[in-house]
Amino acid sequence: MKTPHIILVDDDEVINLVHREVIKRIVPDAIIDVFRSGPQLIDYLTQHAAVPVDYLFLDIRMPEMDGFEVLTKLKTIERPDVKLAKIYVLSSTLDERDLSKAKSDDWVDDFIGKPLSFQTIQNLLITV
Amino acid sequence: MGESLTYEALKERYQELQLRVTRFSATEQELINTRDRLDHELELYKRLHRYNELATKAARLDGYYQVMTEALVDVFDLESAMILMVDLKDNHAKLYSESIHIEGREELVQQDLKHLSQVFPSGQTQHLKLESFGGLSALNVCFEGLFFHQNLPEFQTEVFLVGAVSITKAPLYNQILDRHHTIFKVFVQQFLAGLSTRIRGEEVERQLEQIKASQAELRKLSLIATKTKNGVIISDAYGRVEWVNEAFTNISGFSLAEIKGKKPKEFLQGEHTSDFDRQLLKDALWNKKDVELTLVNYTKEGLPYYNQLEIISVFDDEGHHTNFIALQKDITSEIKIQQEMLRMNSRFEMITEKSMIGVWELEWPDMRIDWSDLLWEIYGVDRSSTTNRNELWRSVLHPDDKEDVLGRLRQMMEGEVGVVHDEYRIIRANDQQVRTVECLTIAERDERGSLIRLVGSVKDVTDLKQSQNSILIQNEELKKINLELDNFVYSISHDLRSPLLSIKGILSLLMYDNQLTEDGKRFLSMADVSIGRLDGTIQEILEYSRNSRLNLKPEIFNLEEMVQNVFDDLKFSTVDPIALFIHVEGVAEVFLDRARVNVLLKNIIGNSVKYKRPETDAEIRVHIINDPQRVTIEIADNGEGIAEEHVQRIFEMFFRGTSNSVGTGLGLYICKEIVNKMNGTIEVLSKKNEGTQMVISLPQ
Repeated sequence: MKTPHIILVDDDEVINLVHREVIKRIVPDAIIDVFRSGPQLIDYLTQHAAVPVDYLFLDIRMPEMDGFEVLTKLKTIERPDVKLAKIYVLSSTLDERDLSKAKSDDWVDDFIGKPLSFQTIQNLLITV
Repeated sequence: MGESLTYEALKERYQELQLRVTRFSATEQELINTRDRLDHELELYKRLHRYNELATKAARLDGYYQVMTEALVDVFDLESAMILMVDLKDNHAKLYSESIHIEGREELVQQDLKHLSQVFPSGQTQHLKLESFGGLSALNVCFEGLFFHQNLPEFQTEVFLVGAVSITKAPLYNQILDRHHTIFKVFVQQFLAGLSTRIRGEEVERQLEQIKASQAELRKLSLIATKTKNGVIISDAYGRVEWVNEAFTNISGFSLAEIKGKKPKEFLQGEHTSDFDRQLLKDALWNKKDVELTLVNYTKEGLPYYNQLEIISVFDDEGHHTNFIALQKDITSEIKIQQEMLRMNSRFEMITEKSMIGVWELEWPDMRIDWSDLLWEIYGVDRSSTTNRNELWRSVLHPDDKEDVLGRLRQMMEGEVGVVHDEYRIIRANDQQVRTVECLTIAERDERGSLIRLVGSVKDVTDLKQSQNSILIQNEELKKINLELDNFVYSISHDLRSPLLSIKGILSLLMYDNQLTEDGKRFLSMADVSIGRLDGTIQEILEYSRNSRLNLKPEIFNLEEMVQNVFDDLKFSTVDPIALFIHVEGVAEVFLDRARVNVLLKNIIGNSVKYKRPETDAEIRVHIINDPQRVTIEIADNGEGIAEEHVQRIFEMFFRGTSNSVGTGLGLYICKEIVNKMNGTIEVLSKKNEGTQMVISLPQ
């Protein structure tokens, strides 16, 4: 299996750390890039065309640009790898509206409640 | 031989003999002549007899005159004849003629005959000779003729008979001899006899017909009087009842037997019969004048009714007053309807006045316009204004709306539109304030669709609009506040959960790395449980807040799938296995508030999962009964069950059954609140150590 390139987008540094550690324990060689905001992610994707993205975990409630705005922006970027990447919305929200909005977006593969568990990572990354 | 006669003697005797012969032949001739005359007379009488027979057969007077006119010509061998009959009652004359054309000359003939009647006395037959009367112009100056005229006062008739020969035709006709005159006398006698028989016959026949006709009329009248729904009273000249019909009895309750011989005023009038009406009636009866009036009468039971009365005086042929006929109609219901309409009208006026609605009416096409009092106020127009109302109305219309309003009105009047709802601005005349009015205009049309009138209502809705607007604004603000509150609650819950979930993640890392002492592991799992509870509490508070704030939002969804998903999410929170069995009666799709049902299932199935008994094969049985009006969800487990003393309290806020319970005491309270909000019921059946059954029933 090739080394997966995983991107985490969340404004909460602690949860980013937790998620990075959880993923590393299941997929030790994974390339993990962490961004603390939508614009940072967009900058990266538009200016560093380096490693193709395989997985994108996107928080919804973020300052500056929320997860849905990020998704809208992503759709305008000419990156076939992003289009093919598995995109998961990751949130601690309990708002039904966020949930249904995420589930109705055809770029979103699934909605996952925080925190990412070992089981989830196992299911998402290993069984593929 | 005897004595011998001398020549002289012989001659004498011969001459004597010859004289005798001559005398004899003269006598013979005389005899012949007499025989001829008698034969002729016999012939005349025969003719006369024949015509008598013919005349007898003539049933009608008309035919009789005609036959007799022909007879006059034929019997007496005359050139022409005429009979004139004058009805003395009305001076109407009728002329019959034979063998002479008198068309267009009737006047002249009548004058001739009148002239003759002045020359010769009435009742005598005359032999006319030209030299004795000077001729008749109508008969081409008559040469000779027969004439008779007589006044017959018993038949109110004057008859003239004339038969004649004109000068020009005289040589062709026999002279009228005196003996003709005798027969003419006979003829006239017979004529008069026949005439009187016929006139009498005709009179009798006419009377018979009249009797027949009046009998038929009487039958019709009595049928009408009997069958009519109007009451009929027939009284004698003194006003005493002789007869009443059934309708009268139905109206008044009096039968004929009870009132025969009485005067109607004695039993029909009462307390509320107005003196004015009584007097009017009295005067009319006294003067035998026909009268029509409506007055209050009373039935036998003493109930008053409005009687529309018409009294007709009846006179006989001699002009004597014989009867009164009174026609009655009980118009109480009509009067009541009239009164009711008046009352409704005044009520309608009061309503429009009280509800501040101005009303107008326009008669088409003469443009007569009526305004109710309030309309003047609405338009702020001075009532003393002499300007035409149509102009006044146009003058208050707001310039920006004027064209549209007039356009719509025109459209209505021209087209098929029956009702127009309109709202527009006016500039009130007295204070120049801009006001908004709401108008309803209705076009009334006749059966051919032509406009008859327009009626309309006008209401000043300016204040109403303002308050409506402010309500709308408030409503918008309220919505915004609600949304903000909603967002606030979600943000708070999100912000509370985020660090909590980070901690949960960190704990999971620590446990995964497994570098802890046994105590460390124990503490860690305790911390994990506590975090779970805190998270549960946050979620429950959110659900409670949502339920109390948000309106029901029913939608169609698959309840069976929802049960399965909720169960799948929950079963990972436990290590021990647990089984779910779902049975659906009816279709799985329901029409309910999806989010609320989800919370219900999460709490109840969650409880079943949490409080399962490890020593048994844990199972949850869900039975859904989907009726069109109602969905019943039975959720039964074989778990710990609830102690009897607690069963009644489990839906209370913050109630926790046992100290080992892991919840906040909010879950079932929220369930109860949700079910209440959805107008449903929730019941619990439970036995300690056997299991719990929840039955939720929700209307859809």
